[in-house]
Parts: sequence; C-alpha cells; structure tokens
Amino acid sequence: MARKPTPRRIWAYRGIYLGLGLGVIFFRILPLQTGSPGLPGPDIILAITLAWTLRQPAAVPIAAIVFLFLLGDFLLQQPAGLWTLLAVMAVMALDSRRMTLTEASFLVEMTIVAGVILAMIVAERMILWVLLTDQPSLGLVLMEGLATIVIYPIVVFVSKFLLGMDKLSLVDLEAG
Amino acid sequence: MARERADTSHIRPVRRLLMTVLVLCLAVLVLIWRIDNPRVERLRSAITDRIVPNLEWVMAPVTALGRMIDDFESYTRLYEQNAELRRELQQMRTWREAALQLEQENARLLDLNRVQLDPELTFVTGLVLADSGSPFRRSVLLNVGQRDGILDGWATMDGLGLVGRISGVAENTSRVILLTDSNSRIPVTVLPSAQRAILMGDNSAAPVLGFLEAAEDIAPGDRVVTSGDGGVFPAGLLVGQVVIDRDGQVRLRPSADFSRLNFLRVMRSHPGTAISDPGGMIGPPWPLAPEPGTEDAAAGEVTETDRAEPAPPDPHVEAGDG
Repeated sequence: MARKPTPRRIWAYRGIYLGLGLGVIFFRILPLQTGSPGLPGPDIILAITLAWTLRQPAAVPIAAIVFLFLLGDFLLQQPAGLWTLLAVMAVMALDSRRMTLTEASFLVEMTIVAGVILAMIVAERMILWVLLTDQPSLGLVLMEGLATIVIYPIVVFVSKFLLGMDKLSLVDLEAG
Repeated sequence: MARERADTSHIRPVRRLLMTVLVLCLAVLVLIWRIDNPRVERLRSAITDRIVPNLEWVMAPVTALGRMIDDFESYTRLYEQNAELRRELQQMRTWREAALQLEQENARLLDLNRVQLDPELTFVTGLVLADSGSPFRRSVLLNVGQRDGILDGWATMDGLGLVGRISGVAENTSRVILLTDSNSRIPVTVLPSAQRAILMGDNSAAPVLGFLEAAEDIAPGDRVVTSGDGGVFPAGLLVGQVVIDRDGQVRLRPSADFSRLNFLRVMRSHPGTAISDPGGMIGPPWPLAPEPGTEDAAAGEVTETDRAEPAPPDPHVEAGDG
C-alpha cells in the first residue's frame, strides 16, 4: 500500500495546510459580501484538518491547528477559543480511533466524521448556552455543518488524487 | 502493536499530558472571554489591527477584482438599466427644481424665525478594509481609528443613509456594527407620524422596527430617521424607508447600499450640553449685602474704589471699566 512519505513531503503538506488555512480566512474577511446575508459556506479548514488527521497526522501538527483556528476565532468575530477547543478535542478523538479507522471503508469514515462535526456543533451550542451568551440561529449553524460534511468527500478526493495523500497503512502506523 | 508500545511508551503519556494542558488552556481562554469580555475584545481588535492593515496591499487588488466581476455581471443588464436611469433622471430633474425652491423658502423662513439648528456635523471618511467574514455577524472594518480621533458609538453613514455605529476602536482600525447585525439597536423616528421606535437588527437585510406605539399609523414608504434619543446618535440622520413584510411585521429598507460599502463617513458626535442645575431665581438686581455667592461682583467694586481713592481717577481705566 502507501509508502511512508519522506520528511520533505511532510513539510510540503504542512506548508500547504497553513497556506490554505490562511487563504481561507483571508478570503472570508474580504469585504465582498457586505450586503445581503448569503448562505454560510463550509468550514473548509475543519474539513481539511479532520481529513488529514485520519490520513497523515504528521501533516497537521497540533500547533498549526491551534494557530489557524485561534486566528480564525479572533479575526472572524467568534467566541475566542471555543471553536479551537472543540477542533482540538475532535482531532484528539479521531486520533485515538485511527487504528480502527485505517482499515474501514470510506463510508464508515464519512459517517464518523459527520458525527464528529455534528457533535462539535451541539457542544458549541451547549457551552454557549451554559455561559449565557446569545447564540447564532440554529438553522444557519446546521447549514454550515452540513456544508462542511458535504465538502468532506471533495477534500478527501483532492488530497488523494491531487496531493497524493494516502491513508497510512497499519504497518506505517506502528512504525511511526 | 507491541513494537509501537515499546518505541513510544515514554512519549505517549507526555503527549497526552501536553494535549490535556492545551485543552485546559483553551477552556480557560473561553472562560476569560466570557468573564472579562471587554479585555478580550480589546485583544481581538489589537490582533485585527496588527494583521489586517498589513494585508491591505494584497486585499485591495483582490477586492477590486471581485467588485469588477460584480460590475461586469451587471453589464448584461446594461440596456434596461440605462433606460431605467433615464426615466429616473427625468423625474429627478423635476424633484431637484422643487427641492431648490423649498430649500430657499426654508432658509428664508428659518432666517425670519431666527431658528438655531443643530451644529453642522463634521465627519471622517474611512475605507472598508474587511468584513466580519462570518454569516452570523454583520460588521465591517474601517481603516480609521484612534489615530484619527474615532470614538466608540459614533454614527457611520455611506453617502446617503445610516450604516451602523462604531463598536471597537484600535489604533489604526475601527469596527462598524451594521444596522443589520443582530446586536444592533438604534433609536429612530418614523417621520410623518413622528413615532419613536427602536430599530432592531436580526441578521436579515431588513431590520425590524420594534416598540412602535401605533403600528397602524405606519405606512410603507414612510421615512425613518435617527431620533437622537439617549444621546448616542445625532438626530435626523436618514436611515431608510418602512416596508411591511408578508407576516405584517414592520421592517426597514435601509437607504444605504449595504451591498457596496466602500467609503464610509464616521460622523463626529458632539455630546449635547446637559442641563444639570434646576435654574436659579431671576429677578431685578438688588443692592444685596456681599454673600459668598456674590463675592465676585463685590470684589470687583472694592478694588475699583481702592484704586480710585489714593490716586486721582484715571480716565482710561474708567472708560475701560465702564
């Protein structure tokens, strides 16, 4: 199956991850859609983070995840640190189940990722509710989550066929 | 499995510990954000202030490109737009004539009555650098800040109507909460019926007019201006027109063109002079004995007489005092 990627390749993935993440934040704060409130787009950074955590965990170091999500929290006027906290916990949860997920089919993986994203949304609302802050409308948040779930296969497809990122086999996992 | 455990047995617990510490730190950050919100929001605007103006060199061309694409799309409707504009221009000419006459008449009448109107509003114009980037918040970032004397709470307009108010000022940037944001509340007056209302944003394009006394007196098309209640905003800034949606709810269509926010005016508000004392007794001047309250007048007289008695009166001083 997949060979273990060289360190150089890993660093290239890390560069792509950070560059893509910064690009996504940058495009979101462009003052192009100040008018009519459009539909919320997918959280591309989250989709990439989850997909790559399951494939090449070395490509998404936890420091890079925290940096990108915190920057997003601060620049996009979200509760400071909350989404970062949930993303880190989601990555930890997926990380601990990677052994079982490497041999599973894509459908199983997709289901689990969808569950993780929905759990993040529910947890965010619960925490905001406990902290007595005003919440964004449930419909918009769910739509954003669904868009993220829908875009997940595309992210996987692109990273598999354009970036050549395969799942680590069990042998590699044990070695790494 | 056995090999892995042997290799990384001492790394795993350390990693797990580090992750736990990280999660705890983030949880503490969320708690601090909730407890000491103003400090974290200042931190947020400081971070924005550091990052966004530095990105201007790349954001400006991309934004311009995006707007050009929007403009290009509207070329397809160029012919009908042109016809429509001509028709509107024709109507506007007659309106302009009427407005000029009314303005002259108004100026004449105001002059006759010696009416003192509000002081002239001055403004600082800023360029929109970025928007909130999230579908749940309606705000934009301007490239003017403390450096330019911007204060929290000042009203912001585009050329025509009210856009929002300043909320959060950093050194070089300031954030404008738009009328349509769900946190925006602005006291307004609906004009022909002169009813006070509160304009409440709800993240839709048309914010709700709430707390109306008699909603049945409101008709679609009524003009809405700021009322100046609460002393936050200057009174009389144009906000928009009343519309009534399908549920019968009274809403507002803003006059400002929210889809093309480019240059915004931040109106300098002068805090109104507050009347604090209940007002003193007014009456004819009495030859009162010198009291603590009338010390100034008494002191003035004493010095005058003191100076007058030792030396002969100086005509210049007399004339100056008189």
